[in-house]
Amino acid sequence: MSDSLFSISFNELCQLEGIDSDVVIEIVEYGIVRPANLSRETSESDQWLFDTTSIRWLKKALRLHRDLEIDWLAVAMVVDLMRENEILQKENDTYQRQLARFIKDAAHPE
Amino acid sequence: MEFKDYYNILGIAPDADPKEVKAAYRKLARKYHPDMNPDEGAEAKFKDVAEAYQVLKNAETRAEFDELLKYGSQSQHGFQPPPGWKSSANAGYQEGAQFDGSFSDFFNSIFGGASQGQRADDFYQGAHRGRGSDIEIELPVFLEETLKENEKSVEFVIPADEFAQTPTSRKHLKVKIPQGIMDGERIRLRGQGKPGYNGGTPGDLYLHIRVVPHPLFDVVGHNLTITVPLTPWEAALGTRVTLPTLEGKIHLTIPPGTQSGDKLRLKGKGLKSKTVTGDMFAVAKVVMPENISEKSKALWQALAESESFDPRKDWDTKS
Repeated sequence: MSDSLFSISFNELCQLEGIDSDVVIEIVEYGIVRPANLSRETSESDQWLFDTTSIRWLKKALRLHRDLEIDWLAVAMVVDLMRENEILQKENDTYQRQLARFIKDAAHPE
Repeated sequence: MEFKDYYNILGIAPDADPKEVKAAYRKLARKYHPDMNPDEGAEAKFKDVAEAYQVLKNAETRAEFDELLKYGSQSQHGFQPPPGWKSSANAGYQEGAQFDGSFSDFFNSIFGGASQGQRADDFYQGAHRGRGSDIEIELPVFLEETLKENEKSVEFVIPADEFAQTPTSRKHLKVKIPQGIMDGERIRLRGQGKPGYNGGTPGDLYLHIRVVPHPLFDVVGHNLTITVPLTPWEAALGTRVTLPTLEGKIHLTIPPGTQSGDKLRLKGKGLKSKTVTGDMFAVAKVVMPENISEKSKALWQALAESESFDPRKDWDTKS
């Protein structure tokens, strides 16, 4: 049985994924992801923990920055919009399902 | 091996200047980047485009490619580098490489050294070469399974990897799914991804949790919603219904005069995590019988005659 993990530490992230620690700090400074345990006591980056959802956005941000050659500020905006879009999409799916219980043919209008 | 015409891939002429190379790459990268384009095949196209740009953006490698282009375009039966070919331009690859997958055999045979191929992420990751890639798969979970800690069997495919020299394989794992797991969460399993190469550690496996839509219950956060169909007379007079929940049946009193869309809260009957217990909301839906007998019709008629209720009194449609 493998351990089910929900986070990755700052050092592990830099080591395993081969990401420069300064880059991770920059990504956090731009607010692209936020350490799950960020507080006054954990202001030192090597104490940070990232949840598995943040890891996904962090990797996406890295790819966008590198592959599309866009600066971090723009990456932050793109990731924000992508994240918001995902939330809205999910909300929309929920509403569509609920609506379909009340109105015939309400689900997935073409 | 297939010869790759990088100019063709970027849609530019062989005499294009560096600005045009960059512009062509940007346009195509924007179009095919897997984070921007979810279509099937987009990733493969992006990989080609990134590889082409990787070679053509650097004057040294571009010159080498131009040389091969003359040679390669003449070969009829697959491409082989000229005998004794050795790229001197590897130094140009130390930073800023696009794409973190592996480049084509063609690329590796020319610029990677045919016997010990390098992968694109080596160029990018420098000292971290050797670690296997992470894998992400979707794991469907039933709503009932989220109520308590569960053990689930996961079977998945690890794609073949030319660097670790491993064929495609199937892996079987038992995974602990904690109580209260939510749709969209990701579980990380250390070291269960693609194998490493040259003694590197394996990547991680990420399980993307997908809670399967339930035929009766809709999920909003930790709360559940169930639609309760009622006859018009049940809605008018009130009744007691037996309601399914995720953990057995409960009785629910429907008060007289219930409207379609009215919500009744059942505390603590929603989803549970270690810290939160959600509620269930029963939403009334008044349903007409499909077939009305003559006797029923007469009864509705009597009701119609005795009632003055007008649900459309706010409409200004009286002329």
